[in-house]
Parts: sequence; structure tokens; C-alpha cells
Amino acid sequence: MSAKSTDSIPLLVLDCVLYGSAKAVEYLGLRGERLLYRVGDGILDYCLRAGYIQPSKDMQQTLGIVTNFFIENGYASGVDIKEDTGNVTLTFRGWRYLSLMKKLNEEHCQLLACPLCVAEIAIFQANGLDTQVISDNILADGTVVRSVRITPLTNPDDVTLPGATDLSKVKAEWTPAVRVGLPAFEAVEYGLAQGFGYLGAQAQLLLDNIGAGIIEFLQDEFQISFPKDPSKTIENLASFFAANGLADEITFQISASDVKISFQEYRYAPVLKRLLENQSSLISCPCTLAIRTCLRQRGFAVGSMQWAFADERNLSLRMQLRRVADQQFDEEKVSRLMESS
Amino acid sequence: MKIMAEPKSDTLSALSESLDPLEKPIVLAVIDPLRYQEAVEGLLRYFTGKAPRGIYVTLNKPYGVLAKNFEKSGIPVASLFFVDGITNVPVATEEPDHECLGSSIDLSSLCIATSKAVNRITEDKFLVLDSLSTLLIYNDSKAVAKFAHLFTEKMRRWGMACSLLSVEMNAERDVVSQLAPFCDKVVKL
Repeated sequence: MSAKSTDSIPLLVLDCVLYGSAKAVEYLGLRGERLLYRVGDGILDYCLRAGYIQPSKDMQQTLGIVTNFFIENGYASGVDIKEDTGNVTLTFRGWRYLSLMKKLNEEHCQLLACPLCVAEIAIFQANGLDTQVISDNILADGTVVRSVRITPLTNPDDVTLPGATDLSKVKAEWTPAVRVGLPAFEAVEYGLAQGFGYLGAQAQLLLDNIGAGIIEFLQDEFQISFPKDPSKTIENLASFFAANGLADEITFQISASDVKISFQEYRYAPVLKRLLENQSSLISCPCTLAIRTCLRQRGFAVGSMQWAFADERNLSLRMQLRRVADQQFDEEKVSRLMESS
Repeated sequence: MKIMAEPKSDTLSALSESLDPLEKPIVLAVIDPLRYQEAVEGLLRYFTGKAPRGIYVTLNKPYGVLAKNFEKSGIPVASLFFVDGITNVPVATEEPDHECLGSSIDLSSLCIATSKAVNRITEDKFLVLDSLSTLLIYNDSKAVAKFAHLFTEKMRRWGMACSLLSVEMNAERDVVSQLAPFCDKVVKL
């Protein structure tokens, strides 16, 4: 990784979010892919505003800049792009998406959640072009050769994805030693919240679906247990994410009315800061999303979320809880009040 | 693998075809998340063409943001009164064109605030609730279904056209099947 990414985070933290995002929009079928392309727009926005990439009006140059950003952040060791009369051949070496692609394919989820790809597709679309994946070939050394046709963007609702690719030789595993640069992690996290932001507050439902996917990923790949007791579940999540570098330390206190969480050296902090600056109340932090989902599964809805920064990387969160399992709505009483108001 | 989206139909003509035969329809609008903005604007264009005034209950975006967006899209914003349940205010405030309830509004208070808004406009009017999906973030789906049932019952009693919006979400948090029987029409946008 280059000097730009002096800090890094295990790939597994990024992948649990990417897995969650693919699963979150899977119910839409291939239309879900269009929602992921919106994440690509958010990734580009963050990279530009954070100064991780420089703006360019030239599409080819922008594609190169974004590709380099992901290479510098360890998401691929190299990407070659060759153009030939409307077709493009992309060769990905050391592509970090392969493990996740295998897992998703095994679960018959064809959606493409690779952040490098969705960012590039967003660039093509911004220039009025569409991409249609013709084929993916996996070489023995794990290099992926992808053929893509570039066409004018006629109907932005059309989606073309590769058919099932033979990934049987790919070994899908996640170890803390395999890492990606923090800028790439931040860009994806911001892209998720920003990409769905056009839906307003209800976008949190989609983000909470990502939380459900994160939980599934952690259960499948790391055998994390999620006991019925919310306190134990939050403890397990806090330990897992602290051990994997989302923060140096994550501590919490839970009561019947709220959950207070403290993050020390929180790697999501720059994303949060930018979202709050944008007046966005949407949150994409994997730990927070997973906690929200676990609480919901145990009958608690999270109301307001209040963040307090001690400094740039140390902060606390108060999540207000509402017990929905016992929630009553007295139609007769409210009806009378409506008539008399 | 390729999936062709259905050609983008003109939302307004689709709504006209579907709703014109109905008198003051109670509509459940199930919206494709990819077409949210377009669908909301289509619904407003339809309803503002049918009644001189409208009430827009927003739980998703602050009324100020919405009003600007609608104005840009040529929707007659001046005919709308916004009930805002998303903007964070310390105390509820009422202005000639909107009322801010605060962001942690419960279902009962939302009903009462809406009935007040209905009472303050004497002319023929419609109501749009944006959206049931947002209510599902903070409330149990059974409670939301009861709320929507009461809501539609009142709109019918008060002789108002009404559209409840629901963004197509996964089945777990779906109230569409529970609500469809109380509505005159379910439209997919």
C-alpha cells in the first residue's frame, strides 16, 4: 500500500459490509445492482472530497485514477485495461473481491458488490455509457480476465451481469492479516450511506438490511454467537470489531431505554464526521448496523442516535431504545382523539 | 444474464388510468426504490390536478428540502401543507405552510397532528403519507398496520383522497399484504 494509506483495516471488515450490501438489495433481483451503482457514486464523491483522488474531466483518466486508488489501498495488485472497438478487457491481478464473489455465487447471489467495479461503472454512467459484462475467466493463479462491452446508456434500468463463474479453485478465507487501506474502507462506508441517501430517512431500512447480512457473514465465517441477551450479543460484536481494528476499544452500557457505546481510535470517525456535516442521520458503520439489527431482532427499535466527539477519533454514541415487541396502538382511543382535535 | 426493465411508463398517465374511475380513492402506492423521487412527484402531480389543496405528511425528508425539490419539478407547492415528522425541533411549531412535530413522533401523535391539519384546511383536499416504510424503522409492523387502517378509515370518513407510500422493501418488514384490503387500489410505481 502506498504512503496515502498509512493505516489499514482487515479486508474482512470491509467484506462483511460488502456482503451485507449485496444481500440487502438481493430482494430486488438484478435491479438491486442499480442501487449498488449508486454506492459507486458515493465512493467517488468521498474520494474527491477527502482529496484521495484528483478530479479530471477526462473519463479514461478518471478511470485510471480510481483504479490506482484501489490498487494503492491494496484492493488489487494490478489492473490492466485494454480497449478494442467498444469492448474492454480488464485483467485483475490479486483482486481482493474474489473470496466474497465466491461466497455470494455459492449463495446464488449474482450481484456485483466490488467497490472498484461499482465506482468505475458509476464513471461510465456519468459519461452516458453502459457496461455489459460478457464473460469472466479465472486463470490458475487467481487472475481474473473480464470482457466488457461498452454501449451507450439507453435504459438506465437495464442490468447485465456475468453468468455464474467457475470459482471452485478460489479459496475463500478471511484472515486479519489480509488488509486494505483505510481510505478505501472509508470511501465504501460513505458510499453506502450517501448512495441510499436520496431515499431520505427510510434508507436506514436498507442499511439495517445490511446489518442483517453482516450478522449472517459473521456467523458463517467466524462462528460469532448472538445470544438472546442483547448485552451479550453487543459484547460479542464489540469484541469482534475491536479485535479487527474498527476501533482500538469499543465499550458499552445498556439499559432499558438506551445503549451507550464508546469508540476509541474509531476508524469510521472520518466518515461519520462527513455524514454529519451533510446533515445525514444515516449510519453505515458495520458494528453499529449489526447492533441495531440484533436489538431489533430482540424486540427493540433504535430511535434517535446521538454522537458526541471527544476528539477526531474518540467518540461516543447514545442509541435511544424503544421496545416494539410490547407496542400497543389503541385504535379506538386515537380515533376519538382525532375526531375531537 | 440480462434483465430488461419495463419501459418507464409515464407515471401520471398510469395513475390516471388506474385511479380516475374512483371517487376520492384511498391508494397504497408501492414504490420501486430506484424510482422513488419520480413516483412521489408523479403522485403529487396527479393529486394536485384533482384537488385545490393537499396535505403532505413527511417522515423522510425535511419539508424545506421537499418544498424546494417539488418547486423545481413544477409542483404547485403553495397548495400543500406539510406535516413534518423528521425535522429535529425542540418543541412542535406551526407555520402557515407547515407544522414541525419533531423527529421522534409516535403513531398516536402523528394521527392527531394529521387530523388537526385536515381541520385547518376547509377546501377540498387530498393527503399523502410519506412513508409507511419509515414508520417501520421505529415501530412494530402490527402497530403500523393498525395505524394505517385507522388512517384510511378516517380519510374515507372525511371524504378525502389519500395515498400511503411504501417503498418496496424485503418481506420481513412488509405491511402491503396487511393493508391492501383497506385500500381502494394498490399501485406499483
